[in-house]
Amino acid sequence: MSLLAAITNGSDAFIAFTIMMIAIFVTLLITVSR
Amino acid sequence: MTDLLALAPTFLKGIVVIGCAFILFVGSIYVLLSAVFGLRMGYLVLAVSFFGWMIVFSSIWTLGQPKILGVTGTLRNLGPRGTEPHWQVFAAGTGPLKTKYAGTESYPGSPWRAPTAGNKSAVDTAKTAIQKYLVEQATEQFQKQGVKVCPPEGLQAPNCYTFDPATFVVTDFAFMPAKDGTSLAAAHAFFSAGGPELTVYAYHDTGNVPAYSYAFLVASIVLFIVHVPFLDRAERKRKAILTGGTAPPWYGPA
Repeated sequence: MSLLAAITNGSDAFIAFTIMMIAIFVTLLITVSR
Repeated sequence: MTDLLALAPTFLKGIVVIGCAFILFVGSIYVLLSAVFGLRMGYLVLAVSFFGWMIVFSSIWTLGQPKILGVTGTLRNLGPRGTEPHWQVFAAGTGPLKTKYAGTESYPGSPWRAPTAGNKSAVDTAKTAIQKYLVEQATEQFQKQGVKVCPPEGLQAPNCYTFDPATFVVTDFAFMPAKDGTSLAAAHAFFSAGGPELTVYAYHDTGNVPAYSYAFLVASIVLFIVHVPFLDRAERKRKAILTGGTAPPWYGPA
């Protein structure tokens, strides 16, 4: 799989977006709890 | 089973996407609510709102939206749909067969009737169902013999046989109503490249399109009713904290 145009499908993009949001949220929690 | 496996990648992804939608759209609201109300009451407010909204949503699926001021509303069953009405093959053989429906063995004689202008469209739908059935049977037989069969859609691989449903000719349609009111169809079918002539019987399954709409409506109402008393109790408790007792001590601006 090439990195260029790795996501060509709406459902894949949505899953990737959710993972990104969870990652941001977890980072936020870790930052806040320090 | 092979059909299920073929559906599996999309099916699994569908489940993951639903999970993601819950995390994003419901989870983000829960984060905000729990910051204001606390974990427990935040959940109760969210659940009551969610299931209340699901009641509105699923009643539109179930009942449709009526015409308001001459503007046509939403039609019924536009949500998740159950089994569509379809023709289901229940018997096939090289000649007329005796089945659980009385009278099938007398095809093509009486009580079978040739299609009329009224059920012309049934011929096309029954034909498609019979052709699909024959493709499935032929695929199964080929696979038993070790011949690789590919589905007609998608890329064609070498050394792979593909059945076009249209290569099965289905003719001599006749219809009859069964004793229990089920519509029955029978036809002669054969593979256009050779092979025996088959007599195929199908019954009309009326389907159950609104099944999921009703299921969602009932589940939403039940879950709404279950959550409301808990929310009521939590709110009363919260009110006691807000209105009763003494004010917290004031230590000046932080």
